[in-house]
Amino acid sequence: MGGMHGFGPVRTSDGDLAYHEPWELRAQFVGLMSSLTGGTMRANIEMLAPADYLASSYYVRWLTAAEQFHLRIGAVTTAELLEWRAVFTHDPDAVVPRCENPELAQRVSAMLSGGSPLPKAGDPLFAVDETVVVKRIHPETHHRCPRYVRGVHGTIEAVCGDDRVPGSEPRDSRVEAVYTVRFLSIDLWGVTAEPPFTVLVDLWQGYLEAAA
Amino acid sequence: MSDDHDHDHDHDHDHYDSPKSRRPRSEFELRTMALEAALVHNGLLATDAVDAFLEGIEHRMGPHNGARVVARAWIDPAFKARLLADGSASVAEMGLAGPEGDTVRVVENTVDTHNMVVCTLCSCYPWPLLGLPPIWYKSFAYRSRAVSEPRAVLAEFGVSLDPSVEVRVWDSSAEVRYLVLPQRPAGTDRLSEDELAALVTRNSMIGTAFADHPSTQG
Repeated sequence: MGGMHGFGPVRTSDGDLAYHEPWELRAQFVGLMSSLTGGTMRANIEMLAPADYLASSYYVRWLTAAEQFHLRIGAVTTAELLEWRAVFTHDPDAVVPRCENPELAQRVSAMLSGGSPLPKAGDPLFAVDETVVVKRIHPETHHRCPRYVRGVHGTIEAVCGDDRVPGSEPRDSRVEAVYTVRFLSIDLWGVTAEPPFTVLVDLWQGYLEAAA
Repeated sequence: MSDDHDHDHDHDHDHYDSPKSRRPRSEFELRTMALEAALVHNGLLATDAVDAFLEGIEHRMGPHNGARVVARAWIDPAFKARLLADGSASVAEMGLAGPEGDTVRVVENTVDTHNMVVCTLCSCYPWPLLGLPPIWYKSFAYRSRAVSEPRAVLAEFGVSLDPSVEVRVWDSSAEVRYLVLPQRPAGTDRLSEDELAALVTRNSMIGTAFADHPSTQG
């Protein structure tokens, strides 16, 4: 969304609330924790039709993406969803059935206070302070190269480590170095009303080439 | 399938409207319940695992964790040096690594430099250190404008910077998660680590606010 216009003020009457209604968090984590999503919903959320994406709130995007993903792969059917929905619509006492997996719940709990950082980049192509340019790419599948930096020159600020290339998840994926690239506002936006500033973006090596 | 949802109500979690309140369920709540029910029924979801994650992100994770990191950095120069050099190791040392927060870079605000953090692609955010992102952080307005007119955005938060200050906006577009180390407020030399932590607001660690000044707190 970087640089798009027309979304209005950032500060609204929501103040610093994280969400409005309890179902919103439930929808996010039901999607994330389904045994089929592999713990990531990014690609599924990006598959929403652009008009739906922009017309939906953050958590409605999570909900819709989770529904569409499970329908697309046949893990649930429209008929099942409608049937369950009818149950909850007509019976105010009906509650969602539970499935207990204490061993998994234990692992989730442990995972919440652990984790390991990205491994150090094994063989980075670019070095700190080197000038690079973001390739002009236009992939149809999931990636994480923001549109507003494509074709723009920047400078390597840091080498973050090696990470799987987005879109190639989950398993047989390629690993590449990820860099923090520093851009000047004048290169991104031209002369701005504000004093010049710096934007730093984390980019996989495949999105970059050495500046000529 | 309606036979297997007549279960022990003691397990009823609080993410849906309680049956007792009889509030009509919203469209989206019904859709969420239906999806969860279908996934559970089809053996694709463990309810207690979802509950464990939600309990963690709502109660164990949160800005109180980030504030501890900041307060320690303010009083312990050796820790601060390690934190800025290797954020991941320093937060792990404090037991604060976790999902969406195992690769962490801490960026320091000074009199010359003001850092702020955004995710223009989705809403990446250091969960273990800051918890759930506020609605504004996930808004199209913040995601679009933070990288193109950061000072105008900061002004909406009541933050005004001298034109000579360099604004650095970090777009967390990969797996690194960013935490801003705000400037230590003046007049806090005698405060304890806990008292300092109480000055460190969530927004000051995103970069859309300064840390509180002791005199502004009640």
